[in-house]
Amino acid sequence: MSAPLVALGIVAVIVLGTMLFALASAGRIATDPQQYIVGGRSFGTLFLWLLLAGEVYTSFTFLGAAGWAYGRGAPAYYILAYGTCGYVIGYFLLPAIWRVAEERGLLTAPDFFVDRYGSRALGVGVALTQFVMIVPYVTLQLTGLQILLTMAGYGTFDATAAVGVAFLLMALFVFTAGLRGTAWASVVKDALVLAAVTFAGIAIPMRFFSSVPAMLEHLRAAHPAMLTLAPGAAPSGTFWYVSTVLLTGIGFYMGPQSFAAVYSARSAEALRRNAIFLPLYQIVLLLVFFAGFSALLIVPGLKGAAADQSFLLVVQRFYPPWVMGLIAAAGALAALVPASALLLGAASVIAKNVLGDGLNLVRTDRARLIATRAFVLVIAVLALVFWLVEKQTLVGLLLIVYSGITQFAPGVVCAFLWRRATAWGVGAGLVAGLAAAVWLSVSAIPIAGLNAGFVALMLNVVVLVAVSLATPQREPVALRSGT
Amino acid sequence: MFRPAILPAAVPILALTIAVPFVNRLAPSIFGLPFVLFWIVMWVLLTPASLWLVGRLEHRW
Repeated sequence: MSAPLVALGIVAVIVLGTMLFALASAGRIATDPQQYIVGGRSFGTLFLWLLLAGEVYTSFTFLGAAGWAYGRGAPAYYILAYGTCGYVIGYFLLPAIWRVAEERGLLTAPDFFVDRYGSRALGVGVALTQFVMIVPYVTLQLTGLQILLTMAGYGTFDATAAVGVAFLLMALFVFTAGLRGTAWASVVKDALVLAAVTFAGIAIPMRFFSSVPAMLEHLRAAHPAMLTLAPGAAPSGTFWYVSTVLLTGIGFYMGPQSFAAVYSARSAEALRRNAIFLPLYQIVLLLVFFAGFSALLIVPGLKGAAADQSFLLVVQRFYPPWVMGLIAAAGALAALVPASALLLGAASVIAKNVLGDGLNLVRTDRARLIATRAFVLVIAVLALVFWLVEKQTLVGLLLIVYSGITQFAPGVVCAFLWRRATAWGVGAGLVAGLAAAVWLSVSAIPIAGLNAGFVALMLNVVVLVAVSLATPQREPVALRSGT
Repeated sequence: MFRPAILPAAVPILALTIAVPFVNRLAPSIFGLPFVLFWIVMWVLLTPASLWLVGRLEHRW
């Protein structure tokens, strides 16, 4: 058999096998929105780990982080730091959000805003914004999938159609299985990704340089300037690093798919335990850096978006096709499984908060379940079309989306810390922050090297405070246990 | 949400953000890692300890 056939065959078998395994394990098909969208709020520590870690380690982890290490060097370190900051913030924030959700029966991320600020309009605004931001995030996964399938095909075929088929299959999968299916698919995905990354980050440097420290020694000799950050306000310098880690760390859990994972927890304690242990999982990223660094020494010269191929090119050139197949399969699941959670998050938000609360079209649980399922497919097709028309490098897009997603954070945090915050204040801050994030990213005005989204976040907070103080306070619904 | 017991949690966040410009060096390299990368990895690994300490201070366990 030819190399592309072996490698692509392995990818196809593993991806299909994972979906079937997850469908079988998820058991009964969900018949109410609580089961379908937040897994009946029944996930214990371990299952929650799969979901929380599973949503975070995407094809970006796999390709983008290695590509950054390969193409940029030290700026990639931010990826290791921001998730850790996100977990620390999550340790305090997630149990608090969970308590509100559990007591008030919240189903989606915008529900949180509706409940705390007593405004359905705010919920509709949050829902639409989250929907708009999810689509590029999904397309990011599709670009990752295309790179992987093209590499696994040894460049012999155009992967566009295969990406479309794989993605629509995944959409049908989540249409059927809901959040529980995603969590079960994460079991296979995490195990494979862990194996692939350990291979790429340890076995590759050992084969070519005899050990990881020896590889790093070569790297220091060849590219010393790449391994530390540029000073101060320089592009991707230390100012950029600090502001980006803060921005993306704060935005870490602000996506609708993260709220769904939080709501799915059985207890606040399960969330707290996860926050404690998840930082250890970040070490996976260090191995990805090693893979990217090794690739820079073994196959130098990849420019721009091609840097995302980094260690895959090493595998393709120097290892047998079955290794290529296994690595590509791990990467494909790392694109598809998080994409399924994103689809579900976006669909539930549109069905519940826009069609239901906003337009009053979807009223019963049954209608809500049908609408969510329908929108899983609609959003999948939308994302696919968007992807066919508009493609960008992996991380450039992610940073724009993160600048946007983080703008929800002030409203979430103020719900607990600042009673005076009003729906008008949160809404105005959100609009100001989003507008500033997009404008600063598009116009590329230098702001002392700071991340544009971070500056937008500051503006968001200022507007939130000013408008809240200028509008009458509305007593938010208190909880039994207090916050 | 604001309690003195949460202070240990602030340490890794500070170490991973504003402290990094001050340790942004190649040498001394530890296990072959550039010093700045070693610093970041070290604090990632210490984060569970700091969160565990928060839990202890709050008498959760």
